[in-house]
Amino acid sequence: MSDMAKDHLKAPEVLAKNGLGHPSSAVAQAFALFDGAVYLGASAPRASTAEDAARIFRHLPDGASWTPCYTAAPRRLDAAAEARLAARRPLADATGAPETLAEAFGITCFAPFEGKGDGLTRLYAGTASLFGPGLLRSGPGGAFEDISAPPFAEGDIATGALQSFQGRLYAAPRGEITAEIDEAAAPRTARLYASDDPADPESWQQASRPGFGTDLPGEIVALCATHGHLYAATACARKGFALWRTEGGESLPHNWTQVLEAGAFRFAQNMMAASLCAFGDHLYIGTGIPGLGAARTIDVAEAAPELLRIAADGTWDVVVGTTRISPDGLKVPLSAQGPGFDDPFNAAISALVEHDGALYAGTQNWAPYAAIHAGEGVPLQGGFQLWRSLDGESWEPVLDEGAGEVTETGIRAMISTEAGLWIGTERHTPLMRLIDRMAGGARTELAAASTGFSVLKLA
Amino acid sequence: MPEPLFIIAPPRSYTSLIGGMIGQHPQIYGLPELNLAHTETLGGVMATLKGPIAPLIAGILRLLAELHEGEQTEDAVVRARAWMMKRAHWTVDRVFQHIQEQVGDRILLEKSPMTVMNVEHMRRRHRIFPRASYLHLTRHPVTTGTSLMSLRETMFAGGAVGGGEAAPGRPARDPENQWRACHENIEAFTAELEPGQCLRVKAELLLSDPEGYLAQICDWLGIDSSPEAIEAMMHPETSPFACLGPPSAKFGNDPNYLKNPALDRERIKKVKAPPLDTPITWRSDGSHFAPATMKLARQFGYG
Repeated sequence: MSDMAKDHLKAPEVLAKNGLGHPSSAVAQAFALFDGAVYLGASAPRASTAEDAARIFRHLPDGASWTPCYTAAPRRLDAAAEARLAARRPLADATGAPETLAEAFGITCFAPFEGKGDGLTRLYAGTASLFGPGLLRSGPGGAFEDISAPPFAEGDIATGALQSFQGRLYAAPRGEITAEIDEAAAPRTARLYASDDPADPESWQQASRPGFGTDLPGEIVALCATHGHLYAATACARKGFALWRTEGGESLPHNWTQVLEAGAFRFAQNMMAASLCAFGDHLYIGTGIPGLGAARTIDVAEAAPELLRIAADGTWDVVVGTTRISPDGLKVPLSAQGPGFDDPFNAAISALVEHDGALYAGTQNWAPYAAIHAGEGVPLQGGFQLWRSLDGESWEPVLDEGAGEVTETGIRAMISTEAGLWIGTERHTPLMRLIDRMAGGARTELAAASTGFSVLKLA
Repeated sequence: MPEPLFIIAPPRSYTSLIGGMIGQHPQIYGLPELNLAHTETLGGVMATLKGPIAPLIAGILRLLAELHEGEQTEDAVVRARAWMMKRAHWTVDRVFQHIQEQVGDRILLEKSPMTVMNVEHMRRRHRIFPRASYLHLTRHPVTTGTSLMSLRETMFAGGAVGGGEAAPGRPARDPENQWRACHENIEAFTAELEPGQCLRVKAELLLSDPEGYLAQICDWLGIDSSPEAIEAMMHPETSPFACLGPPSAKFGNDPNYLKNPALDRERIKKVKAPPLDTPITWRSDGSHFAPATMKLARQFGYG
């Protein structure tokens, strides 16, 4: 980013820090505006102890503090959870598995919805868990309760996306997204369920045929309702993401039409649709590579993300990204910016939101990890970036380098409020310290750094 | 003068056919393979293109003969070689200036596969043409390798393929390694370019609808994409370099292409994308592609 561009950068207000007292809460993953309050879903993706728990906090507009609404309870490890834990920790030491883990380690998404038996609009939350994905529902006083989850399969670990549409709540379960799973003899395919009464276990039905009726691999990771359609975006390490949509209707499963295929013809380099957001006349899609973006565990080379957009008629453009030919014509980035907003260290455009007439895009940035891997002599630099556009085509920087904290590597969630734009971050300081030690380093700035997510506000 | 267009791809990536087609656009001059990027001067070119790779000098000889005398006879090629020897001190930059002066305001199109064997070759040429356009062609690694082995067997009929076997069951110069190394060089080089300066294209996709995709390439280059211009591109055989040359400068391009340069729509309809994860046919050890090759192939949309 040029020095001239940096002149425009603002200093945000800090609304939460240090994972709100839980250092292992590394990710502020989901926001919702509900019943006059901001709800925050936090995740502890390490998922190795009972302290690594999914948490929900509430913040009233006139209040100065966060109220805990939900903390996943400890649960004794079963064989399936132990196997999933072992798969996620191949380099774990010989101390063995813990006796208990948190029932869920993450809150992945929120959706306000009134089910037939709810009596009023409730806030639903999807969870990530080594015991299998779940669904929470807000009750009186803002507390959350476990309710029935949509059917899930072996290997599922998260309710990846929730969306209300035409009187139903839609939920997409998913597993880990890795090349190894794509390579398996029976690769995982997209599944989507719908219910008009989510608390009733019998109410969940398939909203699409598995894989949308194709044999294409890839699981649904994002949902968005706009243009009178429900859109579902997938992740696939082998082929690149795809985007499907349906007009819905009473009968299930719905008829779906593929809007984008093969990572919008950037193939595996557009592995995942990391974020969706309607803005103006278009649906915007931020792509990316999950995890830390360094692509060491996922067999996709480093590839900075793109920002794409879809019109109601299904035509599409590259806004930020790579020039290419396609069956739909020549695609030239409308912003004249290359992948990652011209920064190869951006791994994902991980959050998109409309606020005060502008579209905001937050990134995950792996430059700090690259510096740590490179060794002690390489200065720590990088951190998340926030970009803004009034027309969806011309973009300007708003925040850079983790807003001054290099360990703030990602923006994972944003929400527009009357008080300003709220930004939920991702910060894995303990992991950075570990990588630093493995690289032979002892960086004092990491020893002094905060741990856990932050919530920032731009007025 | 217009900025040149370079096709960058490993050998056997349909560069001859696609380069031949693009080179027939009325605003483009399609060059034979010049092989100038690995050195600084004409003298360096003559000093290095010797021995087993001596045939690689045919392209520049045929071009100079054609530009200077309007024909590519043996005598004209001999005079072209003499012209080069007198100008051994000329830099590659000056040689391109000379070519451009002869060709006029048409875009020069060049596609020597040797350029991508080393990322420094591409960087050297880029220092001369920092605003050039680059068309990165990809082809499935299985069919690229099969095609390369077939060519080697043709050229070295009766002899060892690729200089004998380096390991049991494997040719010494395994096509997989060449495919991956060339593309890694290209990826490293193109990462340094401005957005939009390089267009990566699956050759199979382009050949599935040449009129449609060549029109997009014209739009990318900012040149005429009218039906007349596209029709001209459907006839690579009309290039003065789309045939075998005289005895001392016979090639300058893929020998098979020079024997049959016309667009064969029936043949390109048969272009297939085989699965990536199958035993490699040019090896006898039943092995598959390395993970790094698979990774790169998937970035390009294969498998």
